[in-house]
Amino acid sequence: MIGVVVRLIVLVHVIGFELRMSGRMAAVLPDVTSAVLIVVGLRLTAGRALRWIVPLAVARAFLLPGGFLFQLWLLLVGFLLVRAVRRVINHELWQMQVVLGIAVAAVLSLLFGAALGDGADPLGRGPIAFLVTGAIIPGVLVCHSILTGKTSRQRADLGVEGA
Amino acid sequence: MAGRDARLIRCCVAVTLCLTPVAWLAPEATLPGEAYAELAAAVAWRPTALASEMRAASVPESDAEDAALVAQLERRLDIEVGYGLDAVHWVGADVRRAFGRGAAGRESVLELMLELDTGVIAKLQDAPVAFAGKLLGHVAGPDPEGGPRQAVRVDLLGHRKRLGDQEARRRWIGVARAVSGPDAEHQPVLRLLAEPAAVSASYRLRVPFAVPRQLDTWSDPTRRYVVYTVASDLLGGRIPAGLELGRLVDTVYERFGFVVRRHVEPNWDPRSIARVAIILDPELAAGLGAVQARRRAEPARPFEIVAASPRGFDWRRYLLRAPALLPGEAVRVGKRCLGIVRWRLYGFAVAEPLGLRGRIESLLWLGDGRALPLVVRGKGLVPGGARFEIVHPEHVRDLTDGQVFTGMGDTGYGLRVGRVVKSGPGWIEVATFGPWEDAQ
Repeated sequence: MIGVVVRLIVLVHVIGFELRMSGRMAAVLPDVTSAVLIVVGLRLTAGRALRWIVPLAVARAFLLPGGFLFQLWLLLVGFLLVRAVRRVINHELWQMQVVLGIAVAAVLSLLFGAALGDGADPLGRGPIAFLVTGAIIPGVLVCHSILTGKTSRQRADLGVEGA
Repeated sequence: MAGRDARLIRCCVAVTLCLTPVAWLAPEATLPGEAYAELAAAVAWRPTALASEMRAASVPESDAEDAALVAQLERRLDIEVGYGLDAVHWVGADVRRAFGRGAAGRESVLELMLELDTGVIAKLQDAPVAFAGKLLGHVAGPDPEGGPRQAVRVDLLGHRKRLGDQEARRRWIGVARAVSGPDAEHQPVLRLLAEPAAVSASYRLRVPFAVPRQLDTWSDPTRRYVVYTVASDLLGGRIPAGLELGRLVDTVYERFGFVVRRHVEPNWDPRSIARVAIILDPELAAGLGAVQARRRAEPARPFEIVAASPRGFDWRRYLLRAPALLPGEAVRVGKRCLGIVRWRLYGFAVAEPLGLRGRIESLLWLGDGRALPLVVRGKGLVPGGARFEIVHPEHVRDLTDGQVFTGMGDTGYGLRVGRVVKSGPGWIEVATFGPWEDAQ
């Protein structure tokens, strides 16, 4: 419970900051939601990933257009996309991580826009923002490894990988 | 571990599939307890707001101008509401909301901003309700499961009661006359009975009987038949003659020249009706008029902006400290409407301006010496205002140079939304009183 509250506090501030910056430079700003989904999709088990996805959906429902059900659906689509792709690519390669980042950011933006913006992303993101999102993903994953202190081999030994 | 993970993934896939229709058809849909989750996010985002003191919203400088415009709207709307009711006693009542699903899948019940004792509602039961010379429906009886004091409800023309209920078939006697065409006044009339159509039907009323049954009302496309009520002691005794029921729509075998089915489609949208006239006995009318006069004097509720999403997008959202605002109520400063409250819990409220993409709103347009009820769909915020697509009426002429006010809603009609600055076929652009930080 405390973990959920802490995650909600962290995520609502991160999304709030992203939103504030998007008002000025939406076209070049990376998509934080895509980055979170890729990290939890590649590095966590489904159970642990959901503990991030649900608070993220609450934070997005509070700050962005769309209700909780829509946001949950959108995040689950992104998460399942990451999980499906990680089975067919070598996601430890930074090139693949970049491609995955671009793909997830583009899919989320397209779905968000199609459902709520008559085709245009309500946050005004475009191709440059997708590329920037892809560019930061390898760095985000490295940061995650440093913070958790686990290498990919250790994660595999713990049964997280390839589950 | 791997087995549990695979099961959870399958659950995620199932949940995603189940949520897909909701996500596409109603992305703004909310769960019953969702406001509590959003409240947690609000407190996490702005915890200092919990301890803040709230100051009352100031009255804007142009309040006198607003009051004059609102008074003009009220006078004009009362003239429109009472059109064709000179010979009867009636009392006006504001509409809070339209809900239910009746004939043709349209809203079938209006809830009025008129709370009365159940005994009075019982006396009012079946009283005809009209707007601008059109019959809308009848006052519903008191809810047996409700309290001693209830909001008055109106069963609209398309309202269908439970299957097997003896009152399920409310019927109206009407007479259809040609109202357009070169020789309209010489065309024969059609006498008919109308009743609510099926939920799946394309029109709200069906015609089970008509005399003469095969009267040719369809062969000339320029001729338009409109159905008016006929006073009758047999069905709905208090209905005045001459109220419009709707336009006649025929399903025909044109080649063989006979009518298969006849329908009547009322020329109004339940979501557009902001005020109605209840036709009733004189002594009841006087009492209800006093109730209405008291209600309209309610003051604006204070609020303070805690945080707002950035400008530059076609949507905005505000986090407010507003202990007295209610969900669905208008956020107002003086007689100006800034937006609508989505939810309010423990002094926090989230509100959004009018015109957000996809939101259906009821508005009133005042200009050219008349008040026109509109049902609009938000097309997003634009610099200085908001753009709306007009859902009803379908064919509307130029609406530039008019003022826009709120229509039906929890606050009642008649709060200024803004001024129409541009309009085109089926859309208007309104200069609103935003951003809220400046309007307050």
